[in-house]
Amino acid sequence: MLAQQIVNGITIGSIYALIALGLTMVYGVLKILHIAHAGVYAMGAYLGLWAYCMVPNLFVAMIVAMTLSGVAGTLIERLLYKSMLDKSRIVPLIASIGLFIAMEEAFRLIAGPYVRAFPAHFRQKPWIFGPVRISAPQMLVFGVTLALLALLWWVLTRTRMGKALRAVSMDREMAEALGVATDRIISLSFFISSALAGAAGVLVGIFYNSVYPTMGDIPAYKALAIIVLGGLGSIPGTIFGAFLVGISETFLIGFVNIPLPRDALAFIVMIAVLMFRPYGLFGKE
Amino acid sequence: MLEVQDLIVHYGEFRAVHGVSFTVQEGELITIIGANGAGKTSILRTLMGLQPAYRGTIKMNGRDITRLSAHERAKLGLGIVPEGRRLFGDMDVQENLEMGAYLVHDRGTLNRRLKKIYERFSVLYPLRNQRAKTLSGGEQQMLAIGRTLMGGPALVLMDEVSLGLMPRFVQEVFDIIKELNEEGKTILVVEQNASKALAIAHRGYVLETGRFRWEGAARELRDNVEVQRAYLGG
Repeated sequence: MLAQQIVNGITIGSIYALIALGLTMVYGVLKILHIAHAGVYAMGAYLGLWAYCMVPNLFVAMIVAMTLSGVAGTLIERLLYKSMLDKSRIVPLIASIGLFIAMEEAFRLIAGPYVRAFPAHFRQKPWIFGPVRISAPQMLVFGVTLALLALLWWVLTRTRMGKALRAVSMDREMAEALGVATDRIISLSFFISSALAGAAGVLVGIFYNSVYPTMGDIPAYKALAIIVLGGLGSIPGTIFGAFLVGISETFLIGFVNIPLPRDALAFIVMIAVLMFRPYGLFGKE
Repeated sequence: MLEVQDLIVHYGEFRAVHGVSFTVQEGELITIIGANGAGKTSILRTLMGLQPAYRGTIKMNGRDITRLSAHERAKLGLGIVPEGRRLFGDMDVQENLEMGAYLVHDRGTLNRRLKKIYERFSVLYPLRNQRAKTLSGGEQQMLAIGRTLMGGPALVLMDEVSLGLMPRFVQEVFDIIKELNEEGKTILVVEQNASKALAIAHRGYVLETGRFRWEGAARELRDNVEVQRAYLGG
């Protein structure tokens, strides 16, 4: 039972990590809270579903969803945020919330207000290790998340572009003075972030077998709680925070049966962490 | 090499620099001295493209660069060691140096420069895998200078590199600047420490509330009674 809850918690945590990572990266380079990121996540789910209905291959669906979500994210940065960066930070925040609502309405108008099933069927039997049961969709979530996190780590620490991205998030002006075309790096960070969110959307669509217009609502604020508790802008903090929230949720719901909605837990964890570490787990000053 | 004409710099309504003109010739070591708030940093930031020029022109090797972005100016050979060092604190020493060589695409050149920097700043070599923010002030300043040199700039702008350092590092930093210049680097140093700056520079400009009050050979400025009284504590 305990091991099973951990497995379930890691599954949920994986998905949270993919969504929240993008949010923290965008915060890192532009210092704005990109609420519409959750819209990109829902868009990724729809794109994956659409691609899967055309070509019933999960790999293809994933690639299509990630690429198109990445492009959408880049467009959001170029067309929406770019002109607002010298304004007060509340301006891009409001624009972002507005865009998120507009995106949800667009999904409703285009795809309909109902819940769509994701017709991916797995012939693979669940893996059973003693009392622990890992279903095929769970394996998929683990595998994809692990692969994407490894890829992200490699890009950020081993490639020239990735190092430039980290440099921009630490000190944009200095990076620019050393010859980094920071505009392009910022677009790149939106592409990567949004591609990760798109992947998360597809995974959630498959895992819960449902895609619907408002599926981004809960991730929108939960990802916010996760990056705050991890320390805004910190990538390791965000990954840790995502798994902490995922595991806390399954544990507290599974064992303690507390009389609170599950989705409130992320905030309880966040508040508990902030009481002791006001800048988040991995945050600085 | 660098030619600045009637440069005016604004922060909103506030005019920080009131039309200064100066030149830097290839191989020169030039200093702009002045008190806190005289506009020294504003001039350097504007030269690098980190602050827009309100009026005036900046030419580098005859080319007007006034409207270019900072990364384009870096490509043309401008490099800055900024005030406060501005290292990438969560990156290690080597990564910081590699970021300095962001525009260097050839691995061979990069390795040669790395080797040279580690030779010149031998304190940095044993620290190469340590995060920049864990270094002492003096080490950080060496790293900041080394990082800028990694890009192989034709003209190095240095902003208050002696600020906040222990006295023994202050002398070391000025020695390094002099050495670099003797090896052929063109350098523009902005300093509050007027006596040290004038001791190594060829020519100098004295900035007061956004205007040049005096300019000339460093020796003349050192001998100027008024400059002595105001800036050299004599």
